[in-house]
Amino acid sequence: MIAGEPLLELRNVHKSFGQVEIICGANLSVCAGERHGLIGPNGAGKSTLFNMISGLFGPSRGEIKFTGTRIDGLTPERINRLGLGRSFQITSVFPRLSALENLRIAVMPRFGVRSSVLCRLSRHKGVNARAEELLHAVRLGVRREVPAGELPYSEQRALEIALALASDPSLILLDEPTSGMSREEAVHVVELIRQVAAERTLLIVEHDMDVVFQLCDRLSVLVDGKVIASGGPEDIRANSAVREAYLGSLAA
Amino acid sequence: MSTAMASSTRIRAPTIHWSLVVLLLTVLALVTLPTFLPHRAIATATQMQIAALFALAFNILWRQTRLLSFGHAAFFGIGMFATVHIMRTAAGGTVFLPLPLLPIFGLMAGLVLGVIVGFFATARTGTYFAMITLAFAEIIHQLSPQWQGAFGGESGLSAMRIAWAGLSFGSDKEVYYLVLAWSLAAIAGIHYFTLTPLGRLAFALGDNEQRVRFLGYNARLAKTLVFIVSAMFTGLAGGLLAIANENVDHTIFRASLSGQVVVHTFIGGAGTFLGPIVGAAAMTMFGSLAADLTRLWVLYQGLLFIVMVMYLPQGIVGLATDRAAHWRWRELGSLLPSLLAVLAGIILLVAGIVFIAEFLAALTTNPFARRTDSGAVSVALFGATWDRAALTTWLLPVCSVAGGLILTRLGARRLSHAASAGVQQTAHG
Repeated sequence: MIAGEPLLELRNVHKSFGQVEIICGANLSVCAGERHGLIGPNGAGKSTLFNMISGLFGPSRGEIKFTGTRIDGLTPERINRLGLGRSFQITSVFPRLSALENLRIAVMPRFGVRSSVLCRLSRHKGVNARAEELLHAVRLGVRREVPAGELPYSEQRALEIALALASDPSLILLDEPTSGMSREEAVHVVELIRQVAAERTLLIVEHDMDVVFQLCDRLSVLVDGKVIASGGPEDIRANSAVREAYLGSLAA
Repeated sequence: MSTAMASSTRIRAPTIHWSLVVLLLTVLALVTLPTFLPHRAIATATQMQIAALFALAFNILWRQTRLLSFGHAAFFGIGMFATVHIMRTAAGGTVFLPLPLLPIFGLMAGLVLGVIVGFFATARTGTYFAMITLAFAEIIHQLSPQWQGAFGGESGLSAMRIAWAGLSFGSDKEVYYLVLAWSLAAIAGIHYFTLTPLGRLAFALGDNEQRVRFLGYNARLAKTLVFIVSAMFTGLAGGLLAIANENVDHTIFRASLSGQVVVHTFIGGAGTFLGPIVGAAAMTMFGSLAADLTRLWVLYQGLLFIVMVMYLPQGIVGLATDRAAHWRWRELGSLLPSLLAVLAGIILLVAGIVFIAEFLAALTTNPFARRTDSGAVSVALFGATWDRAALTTWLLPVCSVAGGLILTRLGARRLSHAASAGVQQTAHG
């Protein structure tokens, strides 16, 4: 199934905070084009792993490779420029800026105006076109002028996903995209992710098993800081170690 | 979709129209003002403009990027010294330097110091950022008197305005117009900055710096650039004061000046573009008027600052725009009693507090306290003589304060009910 080198590869990654080792020798590979789900019980270290991959902090030991280059220990901005975008579990939009402006900020580095003081951002044709495109992709076209802080929660989540997409990344990390949502809202967001992330590589942390099995074509299970199994949804369902450690209660 | 757009243009078009009219009228008023004003008032108006530009430049950092600088006197002062030096060079006559262009050197000095301080300060946020800016300003404050050549020692440096193109710059009026032209240009420039990519990014940094980093930005570099823009315009404001005052000494770097710009900004409304302009202009004007009447102006300004931060953190302009957005003007008639109650309450409150403060100050300052033959101690205040031992002397201001508090609270409560009802109606409508 794996052809060539994986897009993202973690080898024997460790992370300790003080005396506590949260990640203890995690191995993970994500291939180009797959929608990869990272599941595991609470406290397994999923968010820690995400933060490490995206550069919030580096691993204590081990290596992380993205598109063939080592990214462990690089800053978030460097990793983003290599083509990795992410969303946050706790909504991280810019509340004072309108929905459209949030996306203008997110796309403007690609147009080389990131620190310009010689034009009005709202008059930049390229930035506007791309921001509008993203806004419509997540169906927020009518909310263009609304400050992001005043959007309803589910629309802030949609904007959050659009921000992760804005830098046109080859790998997108989605941290619990449906957290705090009602069933209908979650279904809507899953559909949205399917559409906007078509032909992109996804790595998703998600608690909702329905969402995971609907959306992902490959799963990895993180338990106590280690990846205990990786495979297709059916393999994972059938895996006895996984059932014991995690899915057991759900399957019953 | 098309109806939504049509209605939004219907609502918006008059707003733009009116703000333009107000802007033009304000500029017109500022241009014609010196014809009506006495000399001293023209000088005060000049100081007001400089204070307004200073506060506006300071607030680039706070309003947009949420970085609170406690060391902006450094950039203001360095702008003043640079401009005074260049004025002295111009007076030498060896180089051709027209006076109206000299504030540019204040701007450049602010820029250079902004690069240095900004590089270090932006490594941290919040309290630590404030501490670093405070420390830099204090270092300059302490070292500058010892560097005679650059800062003129304890006595400071003086310079003269040199005539140019038929303008002598000898009168307050000419200085006023020079400062006005620069201030208006700088305010327009700062407003334009808020619309540029870096200016918009500054808002995003203030909202969520971490998110900015994960979008591929070097957040520290961006913060440093915003810092430099703020320091640059602050240096320009200093340059204008150098031209107006024709002298400067090291006390310009004092921490109280860094604090004053914070006070001006928050009283006017730190969350709005116009707030710092209104706050600085108002406080400078009151300061100038009150300086003749009382020595306690600093106390009153401090009290006002505390009250504003506690009860009206959005400031004068923030309050005005909030209320204008929520009130329905048709209902103004029914709100008028509450408005008047608040106004009367504030007047009573202020009168009571001022009386107590001035009375105590007079009592504790010997020349004003007089002992009469009968042994009573009395003070002349507000055109009457007040006996220290008389009950009415104390009862009157205390009643005034209490009555003022009650009236203000009652009125304010009714007004905020009206405001929230207005919000609900707008939300339903």
